[in-house]
Amino acid sequence: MERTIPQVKLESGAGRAASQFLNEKGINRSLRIDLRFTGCCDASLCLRVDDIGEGDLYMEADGLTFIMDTEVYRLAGGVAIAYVEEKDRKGFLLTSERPVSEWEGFGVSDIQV
Amino acid sequence: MEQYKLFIDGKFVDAASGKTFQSIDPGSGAPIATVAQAGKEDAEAAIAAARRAFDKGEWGKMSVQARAAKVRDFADQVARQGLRLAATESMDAGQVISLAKFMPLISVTLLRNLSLAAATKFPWEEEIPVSGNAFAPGREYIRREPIGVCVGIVPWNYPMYIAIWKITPALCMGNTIVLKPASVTPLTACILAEAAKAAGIPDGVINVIPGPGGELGKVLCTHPDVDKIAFTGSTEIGREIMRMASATVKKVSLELGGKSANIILDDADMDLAVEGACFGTFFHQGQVCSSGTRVLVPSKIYDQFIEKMKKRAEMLRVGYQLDPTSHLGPLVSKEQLATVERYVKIGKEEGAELITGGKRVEVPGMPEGNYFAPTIFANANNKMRIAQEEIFGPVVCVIKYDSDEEAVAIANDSIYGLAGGVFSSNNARAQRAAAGVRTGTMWINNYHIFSDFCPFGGYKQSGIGRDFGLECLHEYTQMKRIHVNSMAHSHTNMFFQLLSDYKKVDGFGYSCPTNVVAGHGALSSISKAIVDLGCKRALILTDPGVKAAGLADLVKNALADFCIGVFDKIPADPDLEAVDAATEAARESKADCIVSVGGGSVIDTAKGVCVTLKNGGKANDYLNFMVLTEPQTPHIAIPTTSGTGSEVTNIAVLTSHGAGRKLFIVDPKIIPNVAILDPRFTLGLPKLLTVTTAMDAMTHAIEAMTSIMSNLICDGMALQAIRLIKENLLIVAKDGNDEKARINLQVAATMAGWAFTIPQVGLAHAMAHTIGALHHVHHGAACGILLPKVMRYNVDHCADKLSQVAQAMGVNTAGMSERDAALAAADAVEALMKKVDHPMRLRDVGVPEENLPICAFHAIVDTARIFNGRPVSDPNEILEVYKQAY
Ligand SMILES: NC(=O)c1ccc[n+]([C@@H]2O[C@H](COP(=O)([O-])OP(=O)(O)OC[C@H]3O[C@@H](n4cnc5c(N)ncnc54)[C@H](O)[C@@H]3O)[C@@H](O)[C@H]2O)c1
Ligand SMILES: [Fe+2]
Repeated sequence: MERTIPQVKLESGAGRAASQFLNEKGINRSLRIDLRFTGCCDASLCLRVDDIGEGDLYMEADGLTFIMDTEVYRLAGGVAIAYVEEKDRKGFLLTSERPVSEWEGFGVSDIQV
Repeated sequence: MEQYKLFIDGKFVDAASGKTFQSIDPGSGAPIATVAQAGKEDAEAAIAAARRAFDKGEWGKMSVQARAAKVRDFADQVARQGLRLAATESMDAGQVISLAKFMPLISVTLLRNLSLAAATKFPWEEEIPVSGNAFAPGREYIRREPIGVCVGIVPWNYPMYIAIWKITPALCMGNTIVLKPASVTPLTACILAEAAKAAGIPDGVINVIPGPGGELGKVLCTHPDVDKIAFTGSTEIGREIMRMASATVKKVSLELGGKSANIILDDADMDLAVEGACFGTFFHQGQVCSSGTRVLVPSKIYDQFIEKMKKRAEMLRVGYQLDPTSHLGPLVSKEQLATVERYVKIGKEEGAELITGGKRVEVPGMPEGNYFAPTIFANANNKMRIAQEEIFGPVVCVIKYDSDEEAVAIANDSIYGLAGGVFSSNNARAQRAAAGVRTGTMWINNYHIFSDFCPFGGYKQSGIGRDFGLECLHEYTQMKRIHVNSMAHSHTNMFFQLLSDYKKVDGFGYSCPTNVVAGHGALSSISKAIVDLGCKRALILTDPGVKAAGLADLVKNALADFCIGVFDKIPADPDLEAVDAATEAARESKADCIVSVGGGSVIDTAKGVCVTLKNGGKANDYLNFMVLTEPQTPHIAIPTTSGTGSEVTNIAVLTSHGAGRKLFIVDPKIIPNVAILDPRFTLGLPKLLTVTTAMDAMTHAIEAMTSIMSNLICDGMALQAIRLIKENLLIVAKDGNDEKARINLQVAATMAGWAFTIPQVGLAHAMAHTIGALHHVHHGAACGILLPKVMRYNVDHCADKLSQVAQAMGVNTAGMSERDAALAAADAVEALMKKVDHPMRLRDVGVPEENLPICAFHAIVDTARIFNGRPVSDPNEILEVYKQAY
């Protein structure tokens, strides 16, 4: 059976910011694009340090390995990862082919360890 | 299919872009309505309408009662739409109909309860009886006003009810609102708009704009015309909203996530606890921010509890939401379903034990519905993601613990603090546990109970601000303090004078309400005075010296049955501890009146006792200026020295060891009720004390006149006091038994007390307080030694007053310049002191010369220095005066 490769697009600077984060922490693992819930209504996508597990899809880009749960990929589709660095706002911004909530793209988040 | 539009400025309109979207029934997957989809332009139009309605419309300006009546009209329209609202809510949000049917009802009660509270209970205007600034007298009050344009962003779990949480306080408090419902559940908010229109809520006061949060949120949270944002939703979005709002410093209230602990104590009623744990997590499919999704169960009942909870969960019926027999309906969307499934997978990977549920449920005929089974993870540990992250589905972790303390610690081990529960058959124990959990709501033997007057909101990352109750009404108002100056003249303003060379305070208020009874035999009036004060149990306070002189016994006999005891352990220059000890005696003896018999030390202690006895606590609590609002314990003062005037003044001088100096209670409420001036009490006063205390009184009178707050009434008192001291001190110094001269000195001291109560004293006192505290020099002696030197120091600022002092001292000032007359006053004071053998130099009373510089530094921060007629800001000048007195 052919392997599904998730569509993950790294906007400019996002790969570098992610590598830098992992290097600083001395982490040599993959990044999971995960669905998470941060309270009262509306899930969001985030990046999390993790290892590949059963039923996970993966792809490599900019020297990083991204993994995604099959179900999460089925829900969200391809994901674009940007890195925002403004005066008072810093973090990763994830948007997906099929938004997981009406707020997608509104808030930024750090890589979860 | 039904079609809904945007509601902007009182009109139902299409989106500027013409876009629409569909709202889906999560139980069947079928679209049920099309809704206009607001974009940036529509959000701006809604904000503009709300701004206009607030700035130019009548809503914020009408009377609270009229506004409350309008809100009630709105409530009536909501009630009329009740059936439609309930059915629509159920269809749109997946609420089982048995729950949704309550929504219109509880919305109406919230509207009615809070509008009535806003009109009748809310403190729109509040007087501040004590301002806490003794130097700027005036009326102080708080006025509460609407904030302006509010934005309400509401989630999809209770679309209608949470919209009402935001609309109700916003409207009741006179604001206007732009409401953005969640995109998956927009319908009931649109019906509320219809109700508002039908109720005649003015155009622009309520605006409803369904549309995508990502796009509308940016406009709503950054627009300069928005004053407040009230958001219920996720922590991630709440954080971003707060950041955006910070650019224009909008007020923000956020009700965010939770991961609440439901603590089952080992003495809980098992069936009730199981029921509470299930209701706390499976109610509304777990899509409630206050859900108790961490159930904490003691090890010793854990297995039994798990078994019962599993059984109970498996009895719950999952079905279509409009089916009245369904206990649980669908999750709100397929995204939510996927999120819940993702967390169940994570829980299994983390090693928690899935004992029931964990999978979708197929409801016959509803293949597209988002149904999920009640799910229990046993043997979960609080560090697991399923125990730390909110799941917002019917998923619960049951965590084991061994002691109540451990349960509370686990409950607190969370970034959230929204709600929680305790189940126990012992309320005291449950309340102890509830108090330990850092969370905004705790339910004991209950769960998910919301009530109109009970505040709801979060600790920690669960949010800021509160919904419900008077607290939420406060959240929708601004607070304005208004100060109305009592003395509207530039020359009465000590603060304006910081920029001026005119340093005197011209206007004044005078109130010195002590009843004075004076003359030989005046002591006899005491029993009538006690009766007039409504008292029965008088405690005599005195000191050992006065008691030894037989004076306390004199009073005891005069009081007869009214006397309940004598406390004589008051030291000279009393400290706070002396007051506390005397208060203790008064408490023990159940005294209702204090009779002080002694000099300033005793009377000042008694003032402290009256305050502490009345208000509780210790004397140190009350070292302050003008903060008492009520009459204190009644106080009759019988002075045995003729010096301090404390029997009529508003000040008590008490040593604070903490501060290392004498500090004050200054308050009109501590002025004694009655002062008895009977010469028999001073006949035996030794000569040295007689002259030094008289010089204290002299210093009060002269410094009152040269104070920046001097006034015509007090000047009159002061001049008469000076005259009486000048004429009688010499006589008494020669013959202490001259009763007439003694009574004259008593009256002089009292009048000097009245003289300085309003203007306060000046530099001589500041300097005397210092050497009194540092070198134990008697207060009167220190005042006397320093007074003439300070008079000369002040001469160019107070020549007019000091020349009047000269005349009162008997100097013939005819032909003298005012300045010369003023200097002559100082000479006359010195001459009198010499004649009565008053100590003349600081070296005579044991002050070491090398300590003068340090004394100067202390004196410059003494409060009395503020009122000195000549401004003093340089410690070197004070040192110079000390040297002259050395
Ligand atoms: N509250 C005010 O308005 C005010 C004003 C100035 C000073 N004070 C304070 O008052 C205190 C000084 O008071 P004071 O000068 O009246 O002295 P005092 O009360 O300290 O008494 C001094 C000594 O004189 C003895 N004594 C008093 N009357 C006597 C009498 N008739 N016969 C024999 N012995 C007698 C006392 O036993 C005591 O040992 C200081 O603490 C000072 O700071 C208060
Ligand atoms: Fe004094």
